[in-house]
Amino acid sequence: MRISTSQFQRTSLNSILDQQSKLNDTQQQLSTGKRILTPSDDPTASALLVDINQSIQVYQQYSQNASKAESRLQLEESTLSAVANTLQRVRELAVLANNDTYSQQDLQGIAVEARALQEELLGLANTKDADNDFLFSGFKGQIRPFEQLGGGLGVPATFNYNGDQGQRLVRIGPERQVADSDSGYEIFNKVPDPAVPGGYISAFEAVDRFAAALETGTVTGIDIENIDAALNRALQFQAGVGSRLNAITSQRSVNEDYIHQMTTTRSDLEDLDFADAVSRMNLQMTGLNAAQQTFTKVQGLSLFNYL
Amino acid sequence: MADLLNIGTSGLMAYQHALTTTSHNISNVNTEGYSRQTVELAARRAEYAGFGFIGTGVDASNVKRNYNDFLGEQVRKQTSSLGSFDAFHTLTAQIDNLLADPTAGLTPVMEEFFNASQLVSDSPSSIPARQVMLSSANSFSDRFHYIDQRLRDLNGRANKQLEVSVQEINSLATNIAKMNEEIARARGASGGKDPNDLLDRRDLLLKQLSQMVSVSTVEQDDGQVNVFIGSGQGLVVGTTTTNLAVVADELIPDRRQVAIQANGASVNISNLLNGGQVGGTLDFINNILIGSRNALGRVAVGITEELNSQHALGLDLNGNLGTDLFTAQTPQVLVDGGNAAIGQPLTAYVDSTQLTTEDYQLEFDGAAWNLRNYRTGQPIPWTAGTGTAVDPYIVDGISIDLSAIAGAAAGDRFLIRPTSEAASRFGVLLDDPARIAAAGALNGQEVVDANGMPLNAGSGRLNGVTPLDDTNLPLPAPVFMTYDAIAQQFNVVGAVPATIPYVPGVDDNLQQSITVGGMPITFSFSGTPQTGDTFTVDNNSNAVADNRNMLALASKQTEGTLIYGSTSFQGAYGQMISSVGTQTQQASVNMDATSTLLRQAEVAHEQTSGVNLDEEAANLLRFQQAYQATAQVITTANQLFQTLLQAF
Repeated sequence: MRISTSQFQRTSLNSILDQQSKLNDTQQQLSTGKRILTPSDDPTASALLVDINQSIQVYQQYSQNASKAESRLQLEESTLSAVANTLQRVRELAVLANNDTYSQQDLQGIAVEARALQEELLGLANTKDADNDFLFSGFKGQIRPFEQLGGGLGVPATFNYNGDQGQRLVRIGPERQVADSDSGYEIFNKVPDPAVPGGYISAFEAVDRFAAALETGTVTGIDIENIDAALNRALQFQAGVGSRLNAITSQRSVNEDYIHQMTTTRSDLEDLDFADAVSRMNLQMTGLNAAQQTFTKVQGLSLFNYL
Repeated sequence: MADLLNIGTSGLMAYQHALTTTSHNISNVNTEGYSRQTVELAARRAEYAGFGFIGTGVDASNVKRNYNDFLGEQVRKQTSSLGSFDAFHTLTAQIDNLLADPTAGLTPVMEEFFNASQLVSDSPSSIPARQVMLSSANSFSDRFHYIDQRLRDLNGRANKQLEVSVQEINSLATNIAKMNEEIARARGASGGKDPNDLLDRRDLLLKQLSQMVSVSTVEQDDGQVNVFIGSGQGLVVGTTTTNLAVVADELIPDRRQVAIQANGASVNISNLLNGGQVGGTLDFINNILIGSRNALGRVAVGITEELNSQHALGLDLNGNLGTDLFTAQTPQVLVDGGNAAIGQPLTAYVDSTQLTTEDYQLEFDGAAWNLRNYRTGQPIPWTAGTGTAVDPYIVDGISIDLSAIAGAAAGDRFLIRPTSEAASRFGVLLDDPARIAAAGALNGQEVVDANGMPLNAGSGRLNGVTPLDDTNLPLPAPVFMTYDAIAQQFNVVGAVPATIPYVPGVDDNLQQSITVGGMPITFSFSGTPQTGDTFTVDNNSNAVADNRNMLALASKQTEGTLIYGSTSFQGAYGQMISSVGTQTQQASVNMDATSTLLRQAEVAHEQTSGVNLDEEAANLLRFQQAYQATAQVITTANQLFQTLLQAF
């Protein structure tokens, strides 16, 4: 076969250029640590990577949401725990006052503490969260949920609830939402009235009636039952919050497992097998070297040298 | 003796020619397009000398050009293919690289935006969280503009390249016509002998031409070649040429096409051209660039439509219904300058999940308006509608109202581009963080007394009150639903239907629906209500801590919102990346394969036509020896003559 001189040269040169370009790719892979440099290197994996990156980021956001919900629920739990302690103390006072051994003057003393506890309870029910929203006003975050109208020594007061029944949900997993609050309506107002079937008494009314009864010296067993009902309601919601906190913890570990798994998949898809790449690079360097050496050797051959 | 001298002289002359040609070969070893030449020797006519024919020497009968038309044609074909794949790959790879960049792509800003909306859903009353959401929406829109701008830059570059290539084609065509003229003249003057070096130069011009566009050639008897492009349009016929020109697409002004100028008219032959840089560039413009911009625009339309309609279902911090978060858009309509009709169609998006990445040509045939795919020419039937204002045509997620067009004549056309400009026009309309509508528009509650104390005796609950559209927001009056435990149903006041059956323990959390003035509202009941227990659905108010609408808006990130509900915004963008990636990869594979084929064709061609210096060196020796030997003939003749003279 005839080979033209320029063809001969071009072929040798092309083989050097080819080797160089392959070496360049490998070198770029090694310096970035990535197997896929542009989507065209592996279009399917590239599209998959977009999905995986989104999944990872979405799950990270779920975990962030979970932290936010957790801190609000922790605030609710500690507030409800304080509410329960306050009601517990009121109940102790009611049990004491229901004892015939106390004089009218003693009862007045207890009434002062009961009023103070009533104030405290109202304060707790009007707690604000980290965003400066009222914790127990439902969706109406900037509306003070509970207010006391009227009342006085021996006179029962009226309590208004100005919030709504809204309960906020936070997304902590793809199919998992958790309530990050309860409305004050549910906790404090929807206390079943032990005396009236189907009727309701608010926690504030329960305490207020007891204090007024103390002031007028007419404490009865009903007062204790009312306070018990309010306390039970608070404890019930406290337990609910606790179980939601547990749910968040378990969902968070599910999320972290998923993120871990996706990160591994991502790494499998896009990361470079260094051992393979390094040995490939050595091979390519040897190839380039050989191509360069043969080029210089072969180019020296010419019949004209002998003329 | 004279014979001997004549024969010697003929040999000297012939080998001088052979040596000259060999030297010519050697000096042109690196000349592009040069074909090796050989002198063909032929014995002179012998003379009859009575006893037989006596030879009379040698003649150089012809200088042959070692060239094989078929192999030359192969090289041109592969050069065209490679030129096309190369131009296509170079341009497509730029989109590939743009999309690959993890920091410059759409993905990070989209994630940032949806993250920010989730943060607002975590803290709906927080102004800083809302501010972050607005700024991330702005970066989102900046990124749309940036990517679209880069794609448009690439369009500009491709247009420029087309112009350069077409100029090159015109100048090559002119040169080929000139060579045709010279070759015909030289052949005429030499009595039909080939002017080898002129032929080489013309073949080189043809090869350069085929790098620009696929050509076919037909050689005439006088040695001229006619050059055809496309489906047989004559570029060079003998010594005359036809000019190509780059023209704007008839309906898309920033798209360049190639036209041939024949008989004073310019005819678009873009879809007939293939191969070469022109073919590859046109392929890129028509099949990658427009599609990519449309795909990007489709994500922009999807985001705008989906999020705006969700946003409209919520209340902002001031208690007002959500207004457009992103600037509302309509499908772009381009009018053909030659239309007889006055006015243009009115278009709107009706369902962004149905959008495609195609452009549509709307054409009047004299009786009816027909739609076809502008890229492929495929007719598209209307899905629904009659084209009027109240009942517009519906197709692929857009509506087309033709009522504003008057005086249409057959052949009038419009181009409807549903998504192509959407990315560049994507914009954030809202600038006040308080106006982000995070709260739900409606609230479902139990009835309470004046002090907010419960009135319902049962444990029934009303959950998840959600309006499905905003056609009747805010509600004109609250809806009341009162339970009847005997009939096991809710009696509804202020909405239809009038009753909703509900069996406690069976229908718990079953999705229920009512409509108020045609606006559907969904919800569910749970628990055991007692007779007389009443629930209300009413406008939400003061709901600064409500996040329901933002929760719904944020979850659009992962919902199937595009391509018939099959994929998310991100997924559609991912498909665009993988589609461009696949095409780039294919072009690169084709380029490699064609390079190999071109090399093989070149090797085959060079086998015949290329100069091998060793061979020429050997020829040099061979012809030198022959020359020297022939010179000896003259010496011998001289000696013989001297011998003869001395005899006297």
